[in-house]
Amino acid sequence: MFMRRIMITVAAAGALATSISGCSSPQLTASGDLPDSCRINATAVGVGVGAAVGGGLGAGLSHGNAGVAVGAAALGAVIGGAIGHQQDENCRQLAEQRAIQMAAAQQAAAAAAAAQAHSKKPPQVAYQSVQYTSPSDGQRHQITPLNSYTDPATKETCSNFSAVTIGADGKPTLGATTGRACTGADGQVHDS
Amino acid sequence: MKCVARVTRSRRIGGVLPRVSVLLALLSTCGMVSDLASTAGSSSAADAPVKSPIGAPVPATSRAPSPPGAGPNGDRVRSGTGFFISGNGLMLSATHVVEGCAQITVWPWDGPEWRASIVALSGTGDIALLSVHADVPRFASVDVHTEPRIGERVSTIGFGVSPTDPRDPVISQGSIKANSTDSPDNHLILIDARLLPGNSGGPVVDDEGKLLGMVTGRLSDREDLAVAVPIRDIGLFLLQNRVKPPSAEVPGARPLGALLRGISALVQCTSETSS
Repeated sequence: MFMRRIMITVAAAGALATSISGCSSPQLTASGDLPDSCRINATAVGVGVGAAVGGGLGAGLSHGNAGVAVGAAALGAVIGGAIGHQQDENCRQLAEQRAIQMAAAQQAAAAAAAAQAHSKKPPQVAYQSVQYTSPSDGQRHQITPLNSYTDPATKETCSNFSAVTIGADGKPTLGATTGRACTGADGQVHDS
Repeated sequence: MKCVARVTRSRRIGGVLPRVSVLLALLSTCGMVSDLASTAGSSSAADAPVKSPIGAPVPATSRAPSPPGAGPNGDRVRSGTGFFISGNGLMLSATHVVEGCAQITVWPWDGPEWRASIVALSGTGDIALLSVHADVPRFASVDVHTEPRIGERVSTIGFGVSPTDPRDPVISQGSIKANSTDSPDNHLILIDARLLPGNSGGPVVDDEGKLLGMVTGRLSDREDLAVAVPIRDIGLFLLQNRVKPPSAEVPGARPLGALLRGISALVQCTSETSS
């Protein structure tokens, strides 16, 4: 009879603790990868479990004295609540750290993406001006790149020409006529 | 640099009299005959450089009409030379010609243009690997075992030397002045040649048409001395980018000027990336 009463008390306290923890919302974290223990309201669970254990032990040790059982349950609730609160605090600090780390990682990724978009493609080494060192005397010389700046090319190409006229005597007359011919995009040759 | 000859094309111009139209139109910046020049002809001149008369005056530069918005002095685009190294459209040029280009246009001497993209860049070596994403008929043979010799005569081709006629190539000759390829950090060939802006990216070949290097610049304090990346470094760059240069047409199978024009093209940076 006595043991049955203890079991009923413990079960009731456990049910109470379970209901409390079940009603508590899980920890919402930015990282989402916190331990499972951080997904419950540890303070509430601690209060419930502490009350149940304390009540059960108090009832058992006092041979059914209700006053002692209630007092022990209250004491257990306080101790359990304190332990649970400490756990919640640890989880909160861990969540803050994870959130800070995630924000930093996001910032770094955004900066890298911006740098990538800003950089010239392909993202390879850029031209570096080099020097020529004379193998004979070791003298160093700067090098001037020989790219140019020109009009954009078109499909039309032009040529200057000189005409050679063959006279009646069969002798050519060089340079008697000069001109210029262009080939257009249509492939037709015309004077320019 | 012994001589520079502008390569132009011959055109038959019709007429009533029995005239033969022959292209002469040459220039020689040093007033000497180009050793590359071959005999001028009415039909074959298009395939070979023509001989410049000694002391021939520099003809007026030809200029095709500029597209809208491209004035004769403004809106010019960065240009250089490139040459094909494979039949599937891979091309080499200089990094400083194409770096930062949002749009690259490649114009062969005698055909339609291609849009090109950058495959790889070598900043330290100033080598750029491009692709026109199309099959090309002629390309250079890259034999990394070819060693330039001091005093050896070499030739190169440059597009864009004339700002108003960027598609007119200029063939230049010179000789190997020094070879520093044995220096650890100074892999350059020094060429006794007065090259001009536009020559960057041009192939350097010997008299047999074998590729020896690629022009990248000239000494700032000696305009008569150009520098080129040696073939050995080009081969290493291609190897690093997993490109195995195929063997090409037999060098010397065609006139050197025609070979250079056939494998080379104008490279224009028609749109710069915003900085």
